[in-house]
Amino acid sequence: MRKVAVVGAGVFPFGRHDDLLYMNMGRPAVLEAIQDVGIDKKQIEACYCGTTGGVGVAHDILNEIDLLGIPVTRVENACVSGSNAIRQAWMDIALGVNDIVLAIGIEKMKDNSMATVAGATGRTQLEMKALRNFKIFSSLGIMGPPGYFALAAQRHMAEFGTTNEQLAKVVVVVNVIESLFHSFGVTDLIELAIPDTPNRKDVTVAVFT
Amino acid sequence: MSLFIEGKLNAVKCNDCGHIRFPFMDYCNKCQSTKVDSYLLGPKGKLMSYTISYIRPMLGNFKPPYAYGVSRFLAEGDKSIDIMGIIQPGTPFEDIKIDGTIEIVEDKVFVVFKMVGD
Repeated sequence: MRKVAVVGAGVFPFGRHDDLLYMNMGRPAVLEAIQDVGIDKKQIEACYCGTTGGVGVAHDILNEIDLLGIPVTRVENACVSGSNAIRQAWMDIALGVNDIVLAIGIEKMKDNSMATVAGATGRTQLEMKALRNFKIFSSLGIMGPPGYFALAAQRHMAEFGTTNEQLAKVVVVVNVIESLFHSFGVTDLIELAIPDTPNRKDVTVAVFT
Repeated sequence: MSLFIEGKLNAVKCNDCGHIRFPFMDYCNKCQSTKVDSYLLGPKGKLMSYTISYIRPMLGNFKPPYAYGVSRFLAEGDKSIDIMGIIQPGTPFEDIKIDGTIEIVEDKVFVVFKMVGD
């Protein structure tokens, strides 16, 4: 397999952008990534877009920057949809299918449960009707991945005495790793991962009640 | 198939490989055999974990905040099965205890856990 590198990145500020369309958020990020790497957009040979709720949004985004005529694939894998898009892009390049691939991760979380974004309303009405009758999956209506993680964390705390502070320190450790990246001069990836928080290196365990 | 039979969970046991799971299906998801029978779990179990949700449930007629969790039910031999469900709405959160004993309450939509002891 060939080695693969991330050569450019762009990000739209995280936030609750109820008034924006997916393409309004995706277009600036993709343009920034293309500008970052300094290529002609026509050199991009394929696009994978990780999104759970955004059906068809990759086409909208690419249409808005006139990047048409390439294979476009939507990748859906819940919270890791964006990571999955990166993996697909990596596979394309590593296996020699394409040389330059665009990976997008984009989502708009709505004001309801994960089920609204992730699952249930994305399915057909007939599937929803069947789902309601198929009782055990009614749990979709009350639980989502954050809930599963919460249950695992609570059990870990009960069984091993793990504290809120210890769980919070995971964030701090991540922050230390980022600082190491900084010391090696790898800043692009950090800015990619943690946008708009320039003082993140100062993160410490804060208030938990 | 009903979720419950006489206050117990209506699980399924495979006569070929012995796999037990909930809820009842007319096949075994482990070995794909169709030689399966009802296997009742509960009514008592142990609450392994719970969390409190502050978002509106998509289904059900109760308002947030509400608690849901996962309970462990003993099956034959050393087997046990973990099943998710909601804590009976109206239960004070301070009364919910991890490792506490719960009892199944029948409901049209959910598996409901009622706290019955520490």
